[in-house]
Amino acid sequence: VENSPLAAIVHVRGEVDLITAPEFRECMRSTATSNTHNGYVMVDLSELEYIDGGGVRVLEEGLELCQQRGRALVLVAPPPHIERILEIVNLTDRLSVVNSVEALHQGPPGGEPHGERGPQERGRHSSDE
Amino acid sequence: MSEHGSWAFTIQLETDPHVIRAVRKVIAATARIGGALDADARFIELSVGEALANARFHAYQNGVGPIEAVVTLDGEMFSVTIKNDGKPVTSARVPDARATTESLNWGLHMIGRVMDEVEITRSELGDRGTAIRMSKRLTA
Repeated sequence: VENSPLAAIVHVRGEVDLITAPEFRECMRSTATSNTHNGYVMVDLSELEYIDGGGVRVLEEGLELCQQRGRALVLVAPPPHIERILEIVNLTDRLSVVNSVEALHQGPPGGEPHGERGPQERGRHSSDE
Repeated sequence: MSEHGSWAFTIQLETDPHVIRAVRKVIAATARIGGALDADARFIELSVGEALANARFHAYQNGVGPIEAVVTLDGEMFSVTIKNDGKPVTSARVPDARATTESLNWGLHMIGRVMDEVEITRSELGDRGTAIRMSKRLTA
């Protein structure tokens, strides 16, 4: 986890499954409820290879914790097969997805926390393979 | 007939998380050998993982129990049947929409969205056991 005044960045690598989901849940809970940053919790999924339903539920719980605290949860660069899973459970409809961590420096993804979606937001994948 | 042939094999396993991880990877690798595109193999892996997780959490009440996984390639149709001997499902229906609180329904919903065919059957051997057959047509 990286912390800056603007955001906390959680880097998720490898696999989130029955074995690793508890650690991921603890990390997301502590990050979403931490007082060491403002505004955004970014979850870097660019090196995520596998996530199961339990892992997706952790992301959803993180989103709810952030919303309770007026923060925005932003997903960064999920690989296409991961983004497809997040679409299936309608999670991508409820939060912002951006192409890189640097997108935060170009303007707030999704607008200000709890705001409208911004221009830096990644385009939606509409495929339904 | 697929150039990859038609065949079947059976794996006996238990619902230990490390075993579940290994078996879903084995079955995904098998799907690739059978001609699955990478995206399809990943969805098959997800479905196997969800079915095995459901067996662990629901059939065996968050514990370890026996599973039989039957893997078949019949022409272009790749199928995995996961059978458990635990508490049976209350409904053999694959939910169309994601339930917000029930992880069993959530996993089944995901399986139903990424696989071409899903069939859930309760065991005919008394009041124990459920089988879920999940099929994906492998097209290049």
